Amino acid sequence: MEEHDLISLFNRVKTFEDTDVFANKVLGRLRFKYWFRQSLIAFAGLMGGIYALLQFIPMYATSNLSPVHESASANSVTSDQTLRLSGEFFTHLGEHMFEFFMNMEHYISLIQTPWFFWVSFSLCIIAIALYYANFQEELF
Amino acid sequence: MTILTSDLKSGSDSDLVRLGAAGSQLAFGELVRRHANALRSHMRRLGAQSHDADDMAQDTFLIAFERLDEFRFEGPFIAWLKTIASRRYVKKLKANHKYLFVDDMSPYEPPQEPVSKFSQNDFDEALSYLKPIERLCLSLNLSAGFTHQAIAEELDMPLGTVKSHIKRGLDHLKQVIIP
Repeated sequence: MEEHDLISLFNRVKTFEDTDVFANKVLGRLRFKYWFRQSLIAFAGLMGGIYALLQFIPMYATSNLSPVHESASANSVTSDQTLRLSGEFFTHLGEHMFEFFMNMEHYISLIQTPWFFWVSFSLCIIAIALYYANFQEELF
Repeated sequence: MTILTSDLKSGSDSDLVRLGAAGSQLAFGELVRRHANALRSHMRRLGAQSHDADDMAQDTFLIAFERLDEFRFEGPFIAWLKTIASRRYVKKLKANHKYLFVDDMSPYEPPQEPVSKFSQNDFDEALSYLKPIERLCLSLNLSAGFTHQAIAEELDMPLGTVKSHIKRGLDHLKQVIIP
């Protein structure tokens, strides 16, 4: 047996019965990876959008909301029963939203601080750098 | 532009790589079907066990898809795939099976010498009687096309040691395989 015979034996391809299953697995993982990446981008975009929107909420406005809220409650009282019930419903809903918003006040204030921006920005940059470094390392 | 399955089947690897690099998963699927058996065979010849070999072959295809634009068309596509797969396999061995690279391999050597010679159809069985490091060096050299120097650098071994492993492996195979 010569060396070139051995080389041809090394390059002889074995046949596998599950070639199609194997190929489908690869393509399935490829599609999942693509879908996951797209979802992650969409999620990041959503979070970024929410973060940007929260920067536009002036926190001093929340302290002035109370009188507005009370006057809205007063206007919802009416003699018509159906209208009164629906008014109560919306008043109730408004109260809950108001409470929710008031509870969020602390978090919104936190999100609007410069250090929150720099910490989250740094974490994003680190995540991108780690992903890129790992991507480079895969092949070389 | 609509790509027909028949076009993909008759297309060359280069055409499919170009389509794949442009994002066509169908074209890449054809490349996977075309080269899956060769890559799976290669992984087993390096010494990977059945499931591990298939997992690594799958990972290799996924990496290749991400890196298709780096393929330079300087050699066959399967050679490029084998290079990626081999490097990943060696990296894994270095991380998890450091004992393969020590000088005293006696605890990890195959349990017995083959009792008879092998036909060429039983080539893969004959390979299993080689020492793991000899098998690895031989497969990197003859299947993946790595030079001796490249193997030495990849395995962090002296060039002379790599040459010895390859020579011993070749001599052993020549003895046990019926021409």
